[in-house]
Amino acid sequence: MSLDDGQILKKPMSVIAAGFVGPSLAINSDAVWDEAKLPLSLDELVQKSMGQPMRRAGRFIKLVCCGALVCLQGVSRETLRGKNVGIFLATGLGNVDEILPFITQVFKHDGGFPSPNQFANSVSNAAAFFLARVADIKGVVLTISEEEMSFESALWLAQTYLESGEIDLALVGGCDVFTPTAAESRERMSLTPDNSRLLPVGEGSSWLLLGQNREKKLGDVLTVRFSSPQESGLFSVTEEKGAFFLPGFRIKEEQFDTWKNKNWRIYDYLPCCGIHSVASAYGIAHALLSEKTGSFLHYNINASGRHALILARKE
Amino acid sequence: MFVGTTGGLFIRNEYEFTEEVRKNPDKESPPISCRNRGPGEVTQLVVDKYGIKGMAFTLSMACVSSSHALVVAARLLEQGKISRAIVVGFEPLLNLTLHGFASLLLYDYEQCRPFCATRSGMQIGEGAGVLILERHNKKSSSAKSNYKFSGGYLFNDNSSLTSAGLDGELVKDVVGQTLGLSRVSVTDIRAIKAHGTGTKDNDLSEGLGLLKFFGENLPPVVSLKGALGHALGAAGTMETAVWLSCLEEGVIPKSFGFSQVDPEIGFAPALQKNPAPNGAYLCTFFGFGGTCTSYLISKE
Repeated sequence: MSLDDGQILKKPMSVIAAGFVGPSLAINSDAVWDEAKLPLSLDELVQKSMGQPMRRAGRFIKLVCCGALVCLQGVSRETLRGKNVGIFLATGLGNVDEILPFITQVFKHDGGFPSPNQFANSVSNAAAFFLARVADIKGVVLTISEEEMSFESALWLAQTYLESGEIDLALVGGCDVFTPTAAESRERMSLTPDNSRLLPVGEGSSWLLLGQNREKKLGDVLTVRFSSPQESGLFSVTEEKGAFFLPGFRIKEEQFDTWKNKNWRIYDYLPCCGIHSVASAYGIAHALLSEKTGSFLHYNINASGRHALILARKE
Repeated sequence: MFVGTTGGLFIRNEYEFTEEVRKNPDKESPPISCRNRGPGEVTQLVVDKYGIKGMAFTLSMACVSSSHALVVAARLLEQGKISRAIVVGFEPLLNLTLHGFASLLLYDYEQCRPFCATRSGMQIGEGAGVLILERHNKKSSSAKSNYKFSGGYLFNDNSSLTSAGLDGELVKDVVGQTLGLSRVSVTDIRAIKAHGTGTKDNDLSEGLGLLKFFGENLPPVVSLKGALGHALGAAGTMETAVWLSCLEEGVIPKSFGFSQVDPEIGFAPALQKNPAPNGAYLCTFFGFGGTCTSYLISKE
């Protein structure tokens, strides 16, 4: 791989800030967590990142807001003032935790009615609305879903908005929550021993604040592609060090050696966040906030064999 | 491929839960598991079935899901990022949706009466609508079309989760932006396919907004929901497809379900069908979460 070989975006996206929260609910850091003890209460995190409780919201809405605010807290108010900011919320499963009590209520034998609040929170774009409100953002606010390609799709779309100048900054993130049971969570993501790594199921809310041509930045997103590494020309790397491969949850350990043989070093973030549909967002944010420098290539395939690649770089 | 749906992710639940209740008549609350795979599940099924290789994603954004998808697809075409877009909206009629809107007291058990003084809520529809958009290129276009997507605008307000305000200002701004970006004047608009849900708040804010913006130049206003019901996430593509079919027949359809002018709104929608001349037609959609879509379709 050579970074000036025409495979990268003509206008790379500058990563101005990043933030992530995984199943341990530690901000921008890893901590031990246990699938059997999930989900953890979010109240303390909400209080810490928002300064007030969100009593009526479910876990998905809370985690979306907390993760995004963690990211936004990485920039000064001046960076955002007067800027046209777009929100691109990616989610594979959406607000399952809000939907379950709602449908349980509806499907009682005597035909129970849900509360208005239950119904309102179960609507798929409720989380984006609450985030737009707490971040005081109006304009382009999109909730994008495409199973395990959700974050990559949102990132790709955000790039087109930035390139067109329709927005100045893009707040792009992925959020999925763990909703018991673990077995059902695996089924929702079509996880089988044959098609994915044998790791615990997790959750996360991971965000990037993106702009263009920024001097003050964490790094750049160089490209988002929906083709295989071989087709994209991103498989082989000529750099001896500083080229990190981030395997998605459908890339099994047996394949790591193939990448190592192509001079990639494995950056295995998944044990830190567990499997969830938008784990790639966690991986990229985690890498860009780490002390490592160089190129970071995230690669995943979905259950049908479609490919998705994100290439980021940090100087 | 761009898909808009809101209830689509419940399809699996609806069937399984209904069966669960039916098979467990003695249990007060049968065990319910949620096996849905998210809003993108159907999209992936379709792209796999038809071998669609290009970009594919789902916008799950309540009532503007597929209208937003149309605007997003059109701007990607204009940017040259894609050369053709298949935009799908689908919405199944579900117990979950019916109970949800009933809980918000937004359901009219008799009839949907858009913009009418007697309106008291929506009726839920169902269906699917598909539009294929192609970048205009005389040499490579595979099909001839007399219709052009001539500008769209999407906007998210963060003031209210459930309404677009009551004073019409938001609606006026959104329509103004749409016409401004497309450099179309008020007098160029031949008719408006309004969102017109039949709920008190939506029709008031939309009616006021349209009247504030168009004033005495207000063209015929039509809501299709009196005839089709509100197909929620599918409303964008379904209503646009129906609208295009009517234009193709040379007709601007009438608005169903209206009987009495609401003095707060101050106008009646089109009560009879009209001839459909060439020119620009405005389509509006307003949804849960402060979402607004507005776009122009030109008949040439």
